[in-house]
Amino acid sequence: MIRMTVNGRQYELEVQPHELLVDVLRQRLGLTGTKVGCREGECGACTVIMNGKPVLSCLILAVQAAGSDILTIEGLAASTDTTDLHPLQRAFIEEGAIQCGYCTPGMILAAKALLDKNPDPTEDQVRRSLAGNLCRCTGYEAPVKAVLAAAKNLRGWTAAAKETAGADNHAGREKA
Amino acid sequence: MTLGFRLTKYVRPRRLEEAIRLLAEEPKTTRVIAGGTDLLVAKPPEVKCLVDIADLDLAQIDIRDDESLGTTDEIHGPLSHSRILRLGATVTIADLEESQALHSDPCWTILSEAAASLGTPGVRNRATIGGNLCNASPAADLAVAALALGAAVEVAGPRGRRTVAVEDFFLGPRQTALAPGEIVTAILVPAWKNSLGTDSGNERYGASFFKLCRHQCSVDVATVNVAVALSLSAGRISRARIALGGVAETPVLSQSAASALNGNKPASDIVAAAASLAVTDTRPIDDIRASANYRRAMTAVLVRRALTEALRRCQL
Repeated sequence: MIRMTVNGRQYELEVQPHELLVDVLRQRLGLTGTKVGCREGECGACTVIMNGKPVLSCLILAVQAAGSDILTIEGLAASTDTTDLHPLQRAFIEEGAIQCGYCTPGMILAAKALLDKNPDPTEDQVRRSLAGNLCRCTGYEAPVKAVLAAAKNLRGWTAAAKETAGADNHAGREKA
Repeated sequence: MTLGFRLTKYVRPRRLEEAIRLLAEEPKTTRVIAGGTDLLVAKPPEVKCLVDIADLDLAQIDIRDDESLGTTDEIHGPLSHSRILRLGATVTIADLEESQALHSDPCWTILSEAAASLGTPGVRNRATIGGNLCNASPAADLAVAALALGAAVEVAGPRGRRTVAVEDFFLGPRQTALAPGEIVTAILVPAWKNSLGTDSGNERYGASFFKLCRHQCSVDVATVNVAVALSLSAGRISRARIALGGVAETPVLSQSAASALNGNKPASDIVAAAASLAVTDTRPIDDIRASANYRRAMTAVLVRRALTEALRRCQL
């Protein structure tokens, strides 16, 4: 029996020693936004944020994730309403950084972990943070642009949140 | 879905003694897991039980003064290491990449450079320095850097603790000197500054790490990687360690290159001679990444670049 928090919700699950985190997220919790590409830590499609850090959920046993706090792509937007998308999700749409979409959840989470740590990254830092997320459609120019645009946007959000302390917005929510 | 893996048991002990007992019980079918970034790719079918060392409190980075590794140098005899960097076995590659402690010795920074060159962020956040060494890849980035620095591996096992020099730790591809039941608890890295105990203000230190791989991507192991560490004393090279990865069964030290450098004033012809001699200490193979001939040629190139950069850093 393991306990973990996924997208702010607590779960208690009985898992087998060999079960991978990615399979538990997808098959047991139905969170299929986390994708499976290579199953060997190569493609980054299974990236989730675990205790604040981007990790590859195909290279983590579910038992190893016991006690951890996990964010998947489903937990990123404020609600399922499309007008409530996270600035990174919005930027990926606006910059045309999505084609088939398979790499997108992993890429967005890798980018979120970067922006949480470094709200004003250089283009080089963005490229390094996405180095583990392979895309076979759009290439990388549009995703890099999207992350830089979202960073700018989020810095705006944070500044606005400071001015109107207590206001309900993304930047405020994320700190909570 | 995890074909080949027949795990029946997973344990996350809180005490080192418990981990050692579990490992010693069924050594053939029990394996230590830390980050899992190598083990969960290989999924060895013989492994039935995993001992997770995440809760053993082995993730500390600290610097200890007035400690000795008791090591000697072939040329200089006993080294008086007064400062030791102790990297717990489960320190992640990402932690190493960002650690400020590594900046307190001019040579230790190559550990951070090697860490930054390994895999991708998702891998670096989980992979550990202990795992990188225990996996015993002939091209392990941290192993090559640790070898150049003259580091040692701290081991705990059923018969107590011992320390093994990195050059004695690797026995072959995927083979280490660990006995059944033994666990790596830390990597001990001696300071280079003042390592000869004769620092008169004329000493200079510099190290560098160079890696050749097709592109930075997690499966892409180095074709060749090279780490060098140097001391200069009154304008002459007084100590040199040149470590080569991806060109033999294990990471290797090039004694020939070190001998060509020691006692000489740094100059481009000395560096070129050392780079050519380093090739004589390699035993490369042909594989999917490169031919043996290409590896030999690149060894000379990387050693030359690494020495040039380390010497430049000596002057900073």
